Amino acid sequence: MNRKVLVVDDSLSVARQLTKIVDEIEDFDVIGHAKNGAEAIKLFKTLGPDVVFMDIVMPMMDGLQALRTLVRLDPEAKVVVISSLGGSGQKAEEALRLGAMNVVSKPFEPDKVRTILNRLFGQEQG
Amino acid sequence: MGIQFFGEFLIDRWVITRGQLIEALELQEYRNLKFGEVAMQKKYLSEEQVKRINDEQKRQDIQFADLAVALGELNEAQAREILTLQKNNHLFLGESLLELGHVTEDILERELSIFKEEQARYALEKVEILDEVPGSLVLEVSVDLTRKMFHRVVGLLLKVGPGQIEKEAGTVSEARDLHLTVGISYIGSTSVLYLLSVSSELAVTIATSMLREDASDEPEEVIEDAVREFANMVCGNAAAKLAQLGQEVDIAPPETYTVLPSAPADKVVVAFPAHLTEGELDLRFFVPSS
Repeated sequence: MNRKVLVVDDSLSVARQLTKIVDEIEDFDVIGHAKNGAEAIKLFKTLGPDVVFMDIVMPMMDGLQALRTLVRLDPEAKVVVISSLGGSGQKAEEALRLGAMNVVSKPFEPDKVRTILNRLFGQEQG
Repeated sequence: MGIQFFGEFLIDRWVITRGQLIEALELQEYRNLKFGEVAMQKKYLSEEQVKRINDEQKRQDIQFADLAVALGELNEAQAREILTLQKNNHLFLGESLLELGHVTEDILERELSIFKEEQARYALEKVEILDEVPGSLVLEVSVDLTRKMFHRVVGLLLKVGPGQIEKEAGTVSEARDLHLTVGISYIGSTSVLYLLSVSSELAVTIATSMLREDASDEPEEVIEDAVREFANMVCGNAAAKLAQLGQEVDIAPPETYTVLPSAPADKVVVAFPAHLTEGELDLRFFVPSS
């Protein structure tokens, strides 16, 4: 069975772009899209994704707050943070401290998304 | 991928683990004292004074050192001395990893050189501004990243002429009411508003590149969202580049305007004549007037 991916981003175009990239990767399917942190938590509980791609800056509840909650709900949760502020690193660093497994900066490179996903689950086997 | 920070690059290349990065960041945080902490160590400021300046900083958009001088808590020589001390004692991420034994000198040297080579495509290329304006580095980096992202993401060549203060609308750029304008505010050491206006044709081209499929039949909200996200990516990467150049800024979420906004009384418009191989756009900024 394919691994389930949840995409969390308030931008519909980013979510669609990432969904297209993920769906083209063998063994992975996007099963849902949340537009803010609160919705992410709800979908995380109902859909039980294997991995979550989470934007940081979002209305209602931001990605860092949602990440805290997800890690509390499931300490093994695999969350990859989407960063539009790649190089400044501050928020990405904070996300890594809070338990994010990796950071992917925009614009997305399909190869990087593929590597991140494969490594997340490859590591599990190793 | 856009501009990366060195830690992310090292994890990507399997040089270090996430845990090792976190340890190195913690060591950096412990060693790299804030301006106020150094001022207290030197006994130039008391804890109460630092707290007062920090509180004042929440009301004013000014860096700690400048504010401390403006409030008469420090003289300029003391502020300079602290900034120099901070700079000379700064522990970089690579040094932190080396100290913790997570990388060897050889590996660090090799990785740094590959990192620099990869990030070289984001090296700042010349952007000319004819007038002297505050926050000019923010403008230069934003214009340069707009150029680079149009090329990388949309596949279009953007040529930008020298920017200048536009005293009357339409004298530098065309100042047309194009289909859509997206504005993003830089917050932090400077307050600058980035404004990108695009024709409806160009908006669809941007959306097509962002969505990775033909966007001609997409509803307007999807097209708008894609242009907003494109501008967000430009300014996000610009903020990242500025951080690499030593200027910390953050960005506010993008705003959409259907009519070109006019500059508030305390701001001037700096416009850049811009020409694309396909489609029309205007590029301008609101910057503080003094």
